[in-house]
Amino acid sequence: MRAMGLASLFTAIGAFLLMIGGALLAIVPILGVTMSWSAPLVALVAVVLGGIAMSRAKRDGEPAGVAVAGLTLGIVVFLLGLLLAVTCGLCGALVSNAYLNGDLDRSRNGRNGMHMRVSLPDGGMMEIDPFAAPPSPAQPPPPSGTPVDPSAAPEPTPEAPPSAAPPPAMPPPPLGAAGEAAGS
Amino acid sequence: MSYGAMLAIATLAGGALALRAAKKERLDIGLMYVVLAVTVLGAFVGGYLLYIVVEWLRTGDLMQGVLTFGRVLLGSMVGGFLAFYWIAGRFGMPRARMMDFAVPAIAAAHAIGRVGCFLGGCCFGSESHLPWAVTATDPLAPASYPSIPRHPTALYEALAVLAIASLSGLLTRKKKYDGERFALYAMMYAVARFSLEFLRGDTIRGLAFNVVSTSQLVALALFALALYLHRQSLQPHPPRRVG
Repeated sequence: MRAMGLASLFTAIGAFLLMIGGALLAIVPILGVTMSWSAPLVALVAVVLGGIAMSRAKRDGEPAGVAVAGLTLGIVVFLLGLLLAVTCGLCGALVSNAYLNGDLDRSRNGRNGMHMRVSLPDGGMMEIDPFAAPPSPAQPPPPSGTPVDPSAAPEPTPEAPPSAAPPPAMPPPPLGAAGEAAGS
Repeated sequence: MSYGAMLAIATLAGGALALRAAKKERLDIGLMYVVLAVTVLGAFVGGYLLYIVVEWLRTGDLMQGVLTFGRVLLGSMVGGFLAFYWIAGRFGMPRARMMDFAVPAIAAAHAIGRVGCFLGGCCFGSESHLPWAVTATDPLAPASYPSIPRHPTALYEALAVLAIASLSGLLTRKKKYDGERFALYAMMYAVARFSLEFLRGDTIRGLAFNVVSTSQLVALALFALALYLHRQSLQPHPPRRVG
């Protein structure tokens, strides 16, 4: 069972490296988000291996130190990885989304900018340039993006909060990237 | 960031409570870690798969769901339950008894997760002008589109699940069968969820048959299943023939 304990430990270390890699490479399309979200899943595998090793070591009267180490590291990496995945992974998801939609828009419309389709909470989609510079404070905030499908109804215009500063360059995340989506 | 932090805290709290209960029941702790990890894995996979399907049906773009890595709570619940049922059976662990002592852990994780939803501005309510209505102004919060005072439905649900977990414990102090507390919890949660859906404001989640929301439909199915299992478990069983 020492072998399984070692496997748990090395898997946890691998999950840790995935977590760090995902955080550092968050701005790289596809790769960053995949690494971010793989880290907690790989950490869970480490916990499974560590748990089995611990159980069998206890049953056979063998030391379980390595298994406990792998298990503990797996749990820590899982929790940290989950936290980073929802933040850095979210950034990575936005970049990946913009990357994919930007390519499509460039080929379709011949524009140089990258555009991102964003779901609005009450229906409809909007196309926003995530890298557009925010308007200067002297100017009123522009309408939030361009409706993709004008025939979709109803499509409420997002209202700027009363005390809002000029809107940030980054658009609101797609529905579900920050939490739950339809059916939740 | 707050949503991710609450998700991590919810998993930690739920896991810690489940492990503590398992120690009291003198179950193998190593195997409990395995069951917890596989259950969480199942919950993530189930929630992610259902999210992909829902987003695909809604937008027609498969990659939209694949790359945004969202989750659907109901998918997580089904995936987690199936994963638990499989792995616990695989190791010969007492599933029904585990479901009972997992109720406080499930409720705690659920409540903390809903606080995360509230902080993240998702799963928001319809417009309200009650004294405790909340207005979201963060541009990253879905609830701020539009920025109006709303029912804090995520907090309502957090309080509801904690109350339901306590009530199910009181009602099953002398339980008649293993799994009774879980069945009662499921029935009461289904009623609470069905009711709270009327206060939800994120209409994009869709309607079933243009009458009830998809979550209300699932709540009805959950109530019916839990009630059926409860009644079946209360039926006297004929003694087994020996020889």
